[in-house]
Amino acid sequence: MKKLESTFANMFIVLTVISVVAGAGLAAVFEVTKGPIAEANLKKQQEAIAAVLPEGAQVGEASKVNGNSVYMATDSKGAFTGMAIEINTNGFGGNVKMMVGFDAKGALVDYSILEMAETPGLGSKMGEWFREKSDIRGALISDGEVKVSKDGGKYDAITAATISSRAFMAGVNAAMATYTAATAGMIPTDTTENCGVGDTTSVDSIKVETTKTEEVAQ
Amino acid sequence: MKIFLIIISCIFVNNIVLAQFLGICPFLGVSKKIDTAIGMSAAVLFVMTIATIVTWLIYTFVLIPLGVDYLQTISYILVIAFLVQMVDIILKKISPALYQALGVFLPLITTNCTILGVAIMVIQKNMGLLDSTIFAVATSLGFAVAMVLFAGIREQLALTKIPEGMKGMPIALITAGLLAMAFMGFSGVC
Amino acid sequence: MNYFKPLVNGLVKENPTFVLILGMCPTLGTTTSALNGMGMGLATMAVLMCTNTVISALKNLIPDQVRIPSYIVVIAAFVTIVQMCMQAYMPDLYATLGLFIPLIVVNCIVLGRAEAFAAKNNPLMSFMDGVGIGLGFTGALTIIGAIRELLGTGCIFGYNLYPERFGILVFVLAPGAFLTLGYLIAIINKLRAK
Repeated sequence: MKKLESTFANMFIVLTVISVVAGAGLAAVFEVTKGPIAEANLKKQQEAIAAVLPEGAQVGEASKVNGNSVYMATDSKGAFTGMAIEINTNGFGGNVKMMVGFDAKGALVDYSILEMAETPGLGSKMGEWFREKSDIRGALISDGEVKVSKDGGKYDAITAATISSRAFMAGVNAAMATYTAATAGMIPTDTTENCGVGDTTSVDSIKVETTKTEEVAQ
Repeated sequence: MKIFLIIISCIFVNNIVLAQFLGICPFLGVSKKIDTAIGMSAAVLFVMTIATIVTWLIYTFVLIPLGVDYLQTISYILVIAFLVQMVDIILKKISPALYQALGVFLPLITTNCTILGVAIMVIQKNMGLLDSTIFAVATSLGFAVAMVLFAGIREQLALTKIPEGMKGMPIALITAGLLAMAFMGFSGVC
Repeated sequence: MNYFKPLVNGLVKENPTFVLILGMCPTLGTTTSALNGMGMGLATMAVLMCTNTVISALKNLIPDQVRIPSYIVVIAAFVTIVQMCMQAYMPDLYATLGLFIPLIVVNCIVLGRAEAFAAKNNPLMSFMDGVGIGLGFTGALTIIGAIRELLGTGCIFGYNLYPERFGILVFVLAPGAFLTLGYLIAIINKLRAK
C-alpha cells in the first residue's frame, strides 16, 4: 500500500479518525475497569476502616463532620462503639491521608496511612512507627492534644523525620477534634466543641441512626 | 504566606529535577553551556505557565462536566503539543528576538515531562487556578535554578581530567547526584 | 527475517537505559526498590508492545506531516488503558508509581521506538522490538532498584539480607538514584570499551 499524501484533507481526516477511535477505545476500557477500580478503592477503604475500629463493629455510612469523612461504628444491637475518621494532613512531601479510629470512650484504637508521599525510609515509616516504636494507641481524647516529645508531648518523633511526625500528630489531633464535634451532635445537652473533657464518656448509651452496614456510597 | 510556602517548596525543597526526577532529559541533554541552559529554562517557564492554566481550565470546565476525566492524559498532551506549536508561530511573528533565543528549544518541550507532570500534579493536589499558576511559575524557576547551577558545574568539568570510563554521562550523573545531595540540605533531614 | 534479532538488540546492544540513555525520569524516579523498578518497567513494556504494533500497522495510513501528533495520540491512549487496568487490578503498585504512569506518554523511549523502528518495519517485527526494548528497560530498572534497595535498606525484593541500620539511607533518596546510575553506566562503558 502506498503512503498517504500529506494533503490538508488527508491530515485532518487521519487525525480526527485516530482521535475518535482512541477516545472510543478509552471509553470502552473505562466502562470495563470502572467497576473493578471502584471495588478496589472501596475494599481498601473498608479494610482501613475495619483495621482502626474495635473488633466486630458494624460500619455505618459515611457522613461529613468538619469537612472530614466520618464512619460510625455500632455493635450488633446498634449501640455506638466507635468511629473511624478519614483525615488529610499536610506532611513533608505533600498531603497525607490517614484513617484514625476511636472507641466509644474516645481512646485511639488504631490508625492507618492511606496515601502519602513522605521521604522513603524516613517519614514513610509513619505507618508502623506510632504502633511499634512510640505507641500512640490508647491515647485518650480527654487527655488533650497529642504532641511529639520535642514539642513537650510524650511521643517520640520518627528518627530524622520530625516534620512528618508533627504532621502525623496534627492529623491525629484533627481527628480527635472531629470526633468531639461528631459526638457533640449526638448529645443534645452537651455542645462542647473543643478537644474536650468529659463529653465523650456518656456516648456509650447513645444509639446511632446510621446503621446501614458495609455500604459506603462512592 | 501560603503562596510564599509554595514558591520556596517548589524551588528548593521539592525541586522538580533534583528531588522529583522530572525533566531529567533536558537537564542532562542541554546543560553543557550556561547560555543554552538559560534559554531552555526560559522556554519551559513560558510554556509551563500557559500550559498549566489552559489544562486546568480544560479539566475543570470540559472534562469534569462531561464526566470524561479518563481522557486527561490524552487531551493534555494534545493541548501541550498544540500550545508549543502556537507559541512557536506567535513568537516568530511578534518577537523575532525572543524567537531566536527560545526557538530551538520549543520542539523539545513537547516531550519534556515537567510540563505534563505539573499539569497533572496541580489536579492531583486539588489546587485552584491561582495556586496552580504560582505552582507552575515556581516549579519552572526551580527547574531554572537546577539547570543553571548544573550547567555552571559542567562548564568547569569540561576543563578537568576525568577517568576514561567516567567521561560523558556517568560523571554528569554523579555531579547531579552531589547537587541533589546539596539540595537535600534545604529540606533539612530533621 | 530473524524475529529474535530485535529481541536481543533491545536487551543488550541498544539497551534503552544503559546504552541509549533514554527515559531517564522513570529510571531515576521509580527505582527506590527492585519491585517498583520492575513494575514500572513492565508497565512501560506493555505500552511499548501495543504502540509499536499499532503504529507499525498504521504507518501507511498516516501522512508524514501529522506523524508525531498521531503517534502521541496512540501512545496516550494505550498509556491511559494501562493506567486504568493497573488502577483496577494492581491498586497497590499503582499507588507507589503514581504520577510516573501517565508520564509514560512523554517517555522518550516510546516515541523514539515508534519513530525509529515501528515506522519502518512490519507489525510483527515491531512487536518483537517492543518486547526487546521493554525487557531491556525492565531489566535495567530492576537492577538499579535492587542495588538501591540493597544499599539503602539491606533488602532485595523485600527480603532482608543484613540489618537495616547498616543501610546507607541516601541510596533510597534522590541523590542515590543519580549516583547508582552514574556508576553503573561507567562500569558498562568500561566493559564495552574492551
